[in-house]
Amino acid sequence: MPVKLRIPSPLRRFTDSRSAVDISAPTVRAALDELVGRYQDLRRHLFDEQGDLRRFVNIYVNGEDIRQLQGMATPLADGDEVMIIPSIAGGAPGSDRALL
Amino acid sequence: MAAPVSGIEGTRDVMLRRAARAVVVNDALRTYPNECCGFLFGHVGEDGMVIWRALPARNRRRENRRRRFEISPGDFMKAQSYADDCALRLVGIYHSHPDRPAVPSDHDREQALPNLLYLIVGVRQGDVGDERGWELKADRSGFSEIPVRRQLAPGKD
Repeated sequence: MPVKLRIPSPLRRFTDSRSAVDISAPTVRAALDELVGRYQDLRRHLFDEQGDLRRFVNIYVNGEDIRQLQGMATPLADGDEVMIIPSIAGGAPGSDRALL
Repeated sequence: MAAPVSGIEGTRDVMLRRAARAVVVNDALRTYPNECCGFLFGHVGEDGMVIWRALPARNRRRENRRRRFEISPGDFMKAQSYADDCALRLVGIYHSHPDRPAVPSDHDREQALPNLLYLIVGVRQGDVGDERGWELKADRSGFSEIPVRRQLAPGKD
């Protein structure tokens, strides 16, 4: 039984409108690599030019943030649920430093 | 042609219903001089997008809230569930630019998701200007503007 990757609605355009994709992979990194291998237009929205996960992309395994686990090396077992959840951020032009 | 299953693909026309606009405007005024942020829900069809509802979200930034906003993953999940429960689609995100024009910043671009309408309202000294709609380009190089029409009178689209 593979793991289930849950896709947030704005990114389903790149997964043939699928809200979940079944993938067999031993780690989070392997699962995401397989995902963007299948749906290549998704890659640039999940990873930056250096191949790192974009800052606003959060990955949860069975409800736990992988930052609290082993990051991209977090192992996966059959039946695990991997959720891709964006945090939405932005802001007006100008410095990121606090204004006086 | 059937409406796309998710997102705003191909939308070139947006109609902002009065009730939804009122929520956005009130949130922008109430939050000034800080940035407000929230979710937009609606439908996308062959005639374009209609935004029916707006829901304010909590800006979880602790610093520089005049220039930055961030919505937590948990609130995003709640918004997605809300859309499903209401048979609406999560079509966009709104936020304000206090004392700045309603155009996306580099910071907006770096953080933006594709396939969502980014509605920005400029606010100056408690006065709300025009709202403008933007979508991230597929190659993430910038935004394309999508014209936003206001609903002119109750019940009239």
